[in-house]
Amino acid sequence: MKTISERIPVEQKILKANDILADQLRRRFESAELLCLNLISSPGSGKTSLLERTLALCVPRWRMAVLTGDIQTDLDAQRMARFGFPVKQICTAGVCHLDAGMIHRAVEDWQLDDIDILFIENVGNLVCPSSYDLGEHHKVAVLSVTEGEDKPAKYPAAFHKASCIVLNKIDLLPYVPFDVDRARRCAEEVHPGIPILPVSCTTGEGFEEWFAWLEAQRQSVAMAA
Amino acid sequence: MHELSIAEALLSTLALESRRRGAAIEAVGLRVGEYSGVEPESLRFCFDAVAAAVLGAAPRLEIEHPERSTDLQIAWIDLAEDTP
Repeated sequence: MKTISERIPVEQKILKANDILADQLRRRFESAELLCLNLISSPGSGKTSLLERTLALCVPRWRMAVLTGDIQTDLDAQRMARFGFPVKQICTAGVCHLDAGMIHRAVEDWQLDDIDILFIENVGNLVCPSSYDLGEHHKVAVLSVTEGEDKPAKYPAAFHKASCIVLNKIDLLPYVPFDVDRARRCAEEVHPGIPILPVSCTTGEGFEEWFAWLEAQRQSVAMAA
Repeated sequence: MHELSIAEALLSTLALESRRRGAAIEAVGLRVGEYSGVEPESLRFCFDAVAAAVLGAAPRLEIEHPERSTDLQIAWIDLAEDTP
């Protein structure tokens, strides 16, 4: 006869295998005093443009590297390779997010000691990437003013887990109905106190504040190491 | 959507638990928080689609969906035991 056992407590993360690998990566990054950031946004918010401008302006402050994830093509890696930093495309062949195993394989042949900041540009998608720890120190959400200001309310996981929001394309604010205060309220609702950094990758406005935020995170990683 | 990847990760843990305990899993309790990035009904759909192939029969899934939580956890399992 079949009976049912007493309920057995398990209390284990569903993505435990991914999280173990992510923790190993984070420890490797820390021993190299490397800051790792995981950029998450919808397609078209300007993650690649943000990185291009960051790579162009960061010399001689930091040595950067980029892993860029896309479902198809290496077009983003081609765009960013011209700045002379190590750039590698991770082509997920249909998968909607990056996972820690992909990062692990991608950095295998890189000298982490030679990198100050590693950017991981996730697949353009505000849902799936938010579930996966890639070994990063911080997730950064990119939101642009050509999108709805209610994005943080619609995609709460991504904005809750992000440590800051880069508000991109602010040079277009005079031409679009985007309400910055409403965006701020929506973000506060899911993540009280989250910093919002307004930037324009076209004019360069806001990049000093973005760099100051990066420097502060760099220093806390160096202190921890 | 990534719920199929999540269902696969869940099933590989359940298959391991089932083997380790030498019993079939009758039911499983999950905590899928509002901020986990996972949609409970979509996860249920994917789980039901692939569970039978991995475990022989699909266990019953009970999903809690706590507000303002990032939890993505297996909370408990019930085993089916053969008794004389």
